[in-house]
Amino acid sequence: MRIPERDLEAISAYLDGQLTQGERTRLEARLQTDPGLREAYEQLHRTRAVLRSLPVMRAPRNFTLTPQMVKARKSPPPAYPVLRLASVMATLLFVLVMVGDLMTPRGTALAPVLEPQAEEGATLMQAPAETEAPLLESAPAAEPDEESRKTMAEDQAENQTAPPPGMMEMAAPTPEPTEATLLAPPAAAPDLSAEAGGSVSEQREREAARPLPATWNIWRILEVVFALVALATGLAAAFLRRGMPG
Amino acid sequence: MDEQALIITARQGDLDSFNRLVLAYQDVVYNQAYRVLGEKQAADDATQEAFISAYNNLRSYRGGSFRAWLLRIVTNASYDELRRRKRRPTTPLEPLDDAGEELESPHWLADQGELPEESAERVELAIAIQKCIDQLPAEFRAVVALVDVQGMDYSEVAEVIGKPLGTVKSRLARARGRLRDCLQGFWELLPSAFRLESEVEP
Repeated sequence: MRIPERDLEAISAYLDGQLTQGERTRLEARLQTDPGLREAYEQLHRTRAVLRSLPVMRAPRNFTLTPQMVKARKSPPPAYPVLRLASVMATLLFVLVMVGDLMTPRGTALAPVLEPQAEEGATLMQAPAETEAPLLESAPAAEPDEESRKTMAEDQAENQTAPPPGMMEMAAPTPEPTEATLLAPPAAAPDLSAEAGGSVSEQREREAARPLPATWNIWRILEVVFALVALATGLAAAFLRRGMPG
Repeated sequence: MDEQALIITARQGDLDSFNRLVLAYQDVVYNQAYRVLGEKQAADDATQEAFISAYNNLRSYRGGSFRAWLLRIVTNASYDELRRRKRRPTTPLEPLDDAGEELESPHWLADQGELPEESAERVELAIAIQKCIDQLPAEFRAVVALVDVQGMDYSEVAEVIGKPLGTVKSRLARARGRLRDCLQGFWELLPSAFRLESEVEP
């Protein structure tokens, strides 16, 4: 006679003494009154007894190991766990750096890259005599052509020592400070420009923008480094894993 | 030398110590492999594979029942052996009929036009039971073998197969239910002790 699977499970567990006291009491009460369940119980009891009557088989031979059998298998290379851990760590760091990179405001992060070009463009738009003076003062030996070929790092260093008026104009678009900067004598230009663009919010913007070229580079470099390390160690670990026992 | 001392020295690379453990447990391990695989040669291969794997991974043994740890390894080795044989079938696990077709019904033993008594004379009961076990899915076979052949309790079995207790209960009940159906044709072959069951207490 067919019984629900739930009852079958209860009878099976009952036979193994795996029911709680409450479940056991309920089942025993049902067994007294339900002939179908009683029959199923007897069949399952008999089945279990038959299974348990199976003779224990003797191993047909000794399964002792010989040194050859053990040597035939590669033991896990000691570098494997190290490489595996390194791969996992590099992957985690890569993800962290990616998240950090994505959470960095994209507009401000790109601004420093555009800055030197904008600065040069803005410089060209100014009257040559007035705009060249601060540049010459901060880097007197530099020719205009050489100036345009400067690397971004050099530009950054220059910006930090003597911010040119072009940059001031980018940071402070209001006409008054710009005029003050442009009209100021060359020797006083840096000081004046600092004062001209020197509202608190503008200074904050400049300060926030200055370290970004380095930050921008570090994000990218770290991403590439961690990705390469994760890939290399992962591949090396996978290579070592081959031939190891499961 | 006790078991834990043998394990420690085996872990340090002493093969003799490990072989003493092999001799102590090879019957247990072979029985499990045979009940899951249903074939002696396959069980032999899985048993050997399990002991090699156990030796190579002895460092992953974290204490507790060494027998349960070995049974876990041999059960997994048996699954691997089943997969290998599925990919490269050599000997069919099921009996063949006259036309060379695999017989899925266990009644091939009884359905020979013979009286049960004659069948009983010809076929050992143990083979009949094993044929019924062979009808089960591998995961059910493993649980039945662990509980009803190895005599483990549910929590030990859950540890060996890496599944929750509820899964053990469910698989065991369904396996026993199927075995009950499979063995219906053989009750007459059973010794009288099994035919006169009427006790209620487990």
